[in-house]
Amino acid sequence: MEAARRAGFDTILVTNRECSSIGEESFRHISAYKYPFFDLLPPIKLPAWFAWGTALANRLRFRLLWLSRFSALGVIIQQRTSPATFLMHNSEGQPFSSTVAVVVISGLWRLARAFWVVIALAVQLIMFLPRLLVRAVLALFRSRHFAAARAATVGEAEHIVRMASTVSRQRGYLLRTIQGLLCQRRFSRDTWRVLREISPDKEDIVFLPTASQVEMLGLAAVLYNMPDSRHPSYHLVFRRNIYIGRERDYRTQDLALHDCRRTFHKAEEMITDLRQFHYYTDTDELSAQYNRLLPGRFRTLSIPHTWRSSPARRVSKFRLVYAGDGRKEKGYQHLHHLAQELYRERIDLQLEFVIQTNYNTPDGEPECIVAQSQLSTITPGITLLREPLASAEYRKLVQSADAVLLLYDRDNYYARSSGILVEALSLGIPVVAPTGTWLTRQFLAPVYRHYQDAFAEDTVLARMGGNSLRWRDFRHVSKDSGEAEARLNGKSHCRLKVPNGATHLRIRIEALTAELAEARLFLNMLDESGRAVEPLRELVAETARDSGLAVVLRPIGFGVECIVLTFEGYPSLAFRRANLTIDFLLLSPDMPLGAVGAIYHDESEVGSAVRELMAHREHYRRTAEEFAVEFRNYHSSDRLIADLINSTRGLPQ
Amino acid sequence: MMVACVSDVALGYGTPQLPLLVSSISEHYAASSIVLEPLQKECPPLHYRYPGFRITTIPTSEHPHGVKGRNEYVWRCIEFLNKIRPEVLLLSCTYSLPVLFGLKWRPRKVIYFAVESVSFYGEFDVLMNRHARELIDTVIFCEENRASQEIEAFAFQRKQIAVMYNCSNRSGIWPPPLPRDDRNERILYAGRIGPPTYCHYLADERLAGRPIDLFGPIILGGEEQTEAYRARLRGNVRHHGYLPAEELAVVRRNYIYSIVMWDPSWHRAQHYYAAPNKLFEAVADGVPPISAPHPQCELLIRRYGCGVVLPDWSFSGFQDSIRRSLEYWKNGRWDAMLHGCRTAVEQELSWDTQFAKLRPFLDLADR
Repeated sequence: MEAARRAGFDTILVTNRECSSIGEESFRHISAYKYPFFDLLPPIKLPAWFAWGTALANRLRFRLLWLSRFSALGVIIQQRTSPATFLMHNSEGQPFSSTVAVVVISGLWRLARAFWVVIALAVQLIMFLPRLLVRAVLALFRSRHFAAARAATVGEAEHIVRMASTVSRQRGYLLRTIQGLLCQRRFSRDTWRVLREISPDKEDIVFLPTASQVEMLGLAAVLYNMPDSRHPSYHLVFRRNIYIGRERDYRTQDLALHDCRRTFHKAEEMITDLRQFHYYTDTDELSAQYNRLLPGRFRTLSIPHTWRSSPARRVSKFRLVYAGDGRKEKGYQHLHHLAQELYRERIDLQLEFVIQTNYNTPDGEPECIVAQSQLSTITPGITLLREPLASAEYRKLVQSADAVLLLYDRDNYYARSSGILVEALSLGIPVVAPTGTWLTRQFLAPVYRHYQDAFAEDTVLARMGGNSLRWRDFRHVSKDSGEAEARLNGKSHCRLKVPNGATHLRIRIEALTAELAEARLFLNMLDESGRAVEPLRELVAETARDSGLAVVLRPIGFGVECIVLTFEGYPSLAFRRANLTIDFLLLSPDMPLGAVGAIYHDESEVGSAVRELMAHREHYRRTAEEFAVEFRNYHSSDRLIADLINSTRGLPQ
Repeated sequence: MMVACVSDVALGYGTPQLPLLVSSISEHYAASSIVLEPLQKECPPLHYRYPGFRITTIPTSEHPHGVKGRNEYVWRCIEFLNKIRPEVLLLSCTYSLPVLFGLKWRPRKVIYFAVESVSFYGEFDVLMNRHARELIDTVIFCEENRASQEIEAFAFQRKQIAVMYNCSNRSGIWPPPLPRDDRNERILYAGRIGPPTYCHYLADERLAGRPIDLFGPIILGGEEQTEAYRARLRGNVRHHGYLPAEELAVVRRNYIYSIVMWDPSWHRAQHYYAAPNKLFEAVADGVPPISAPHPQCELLIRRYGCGVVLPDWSFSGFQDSIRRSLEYWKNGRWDAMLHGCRTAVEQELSWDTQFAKLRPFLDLADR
């Protein structure tokens, strides 16, 4: 809002009605929306009596089942076939009544078995007349005099049964569709009211910083039905991934996203002038995803950081922070393992671990509940913040950090952005993040520069590449082979002897294009007898932006004499084995192994990443602050406003 | 004040954590305690081992681990508990959980020790656990992944949850590990020997030269199959029959490794997410485990470097790991594993450390 004012705009913030005051008087605030926005979609509730009735029926059913097994009568009925055994094993104080009950019920059971034929005949006789009546009615119905009525009735009945069956099977889908329609309508109504109140003109910009398809369709409906509303330009930012995983996984998901594609096309049909409607995401990878549905319509906006930088903390203890709610996709479930590992080494004397631990849902995800329960018992040096933080407290927490943990799920965050990463890196605070995600891609360039430049040539004990690497295809799978071997089947591998004294392995791969590309490597470290010293590691090596180069740096463990590197060329055709170079390095323990932040390939490496940041605290802080200068310029609100203005004018960003 | 426990097995057999839980909880509340146990004819009573609490054996007309026997056991436990009305009730396993629905009063604390996977017991138990959540205060799980699954399945999100590893070694009481020179240089397998525990691997002739001792009953159907299996054991692989837990504890300390593995295809939740007593007993005794990659076993072994983890579930992985383990015994890496076992026990894998996870949840409700 402030950046918009600096650019010469009058600013109006429109919010939900529950937001009555924002404490800012420099711009106008209208709290107009009844619609709660996409995080709080109004659920369609079944009538209270229905829910109550269903719960009661379930409880009754369970109670009957329990009684039939564990009540006195239930147990006695179960003993009907062996009453003598039961009576002989009576424990002390057995009431006489239950003894009698066992005998009587057992006797009745035996009578019933002996006379079942008689009983069955009696039942048949009792049922005879009603059955005769039903048969007569059916015969009449089947007669040719009633053929037309029969056809209509049966046809209708079949149709109703099919409908009911479809509704029942797709109940969830239907409820969600109805819910979406209701939300759309509500959003449209509220938006129309707001637009009438503020009466925008063609120079104005209407900006929705976080939008979903519901808001998109609602807005398109407003534009379609109300000509006055077509004057300003509308800018919507989508932040959720619609594909899971990486580009190679997208094709198999296209069919499932057919409805999503249709929704976008429907909105486009409703908009008369497409130049007035602008779509964005906040990462290039997300734009690529959305452009698969609506080609060429999505562009990438920067994510504005919002906090002013503060002086770096200078206290003795290293402060490690997990900020954000406790969620599985944010890696909360790994925190107690990390804490256990760090405190095992008595790092608690040098480390302060602060964890924000409120859940994103009222009850919390099960994995997070278990993790929190474990965290509560690791007491030295851990602070758990159990309540949600207000904005000012949240900012203070992150600003106070020496490192921020971002243990995000690799598949969900391949394309999705992280606001906390932008804030942390803009403040010059090092982060810990997983490889192969949008997060690490933001600071890959300085990390790779460090891998390339920081280690002097005299640290290189041996270099191999190109034709000096002898690649073979892995075909060692037999019926006794396990999963570990099966994963490598059909891939190329090369075996390299580790020079004496080598401490690290650096793998460099040049891609054939400058675009984002990813190589998959498997690393096996073997001792002198060819046994694995560590579990097989799968490594993801991504190219840094516009460089076409991917670099991986790995420590060589104690006792490792040989490594087997397996390279998966498919499905990324951007890499060739011939463009791969391997260096064995001898690095001093005083040498920092990265810059700006720490990247890990596997959750078991997070502990090592944290120890690395602690050991070279000043170096990482300095490189992160240097990186922050350019990073802040890109992720600034002034830039975002400029991009919106350029879009409106049809200019490139 | 009284603490009552409804056990699913005869005390002293099966879950060694149960008597420890009872005595630790009783100490915490400074209360008397009583344990209800089923009468298992094949298990002679071991009451002499537990002088600190009262034990009441509940006989049933059928074996308590059959359907009718269980139902009768639960019914009789309900009658007993309705007379004594303890303030704190501890229920061991879903086997004992039905007791909760027959009580005529609500204890001030109900602790559910979910030591086994509920789905192992069938559909009724799954339904029952969902209905039990309103009556339970605290749930103890012994494996994190199983905890996550069952919290979601039974809506236990708002319950007090504790994850306590299956350690049964009390600090100061458990004897220290034997030094290297006192070991017999053999590998131990102790437990049931049958298809769910990869018995065919142990009988494979490719293992004939490996020094492996088997202790435990052979569960293969009948006498004939058992004898045929024993005949298949080759060379240095020997079966020594069944040993009671006390004697096994004495014997185990002499070994250099202990094998831990279940076939996950038999029951995923129960076997894949295994939390095996023998892993923790082996670590406590300074006998590094050779473990299949069960998630909890792998996590703890890698965390402390106190054993060997199989790369996968295949025979080649198992064979290779046995070979590797024997090499480590010779080349000094075994000593590092022994040190890892000691560190694990000092820092995490002891009863006292695990019970500390439950302490924050032992406040009593006013009922």
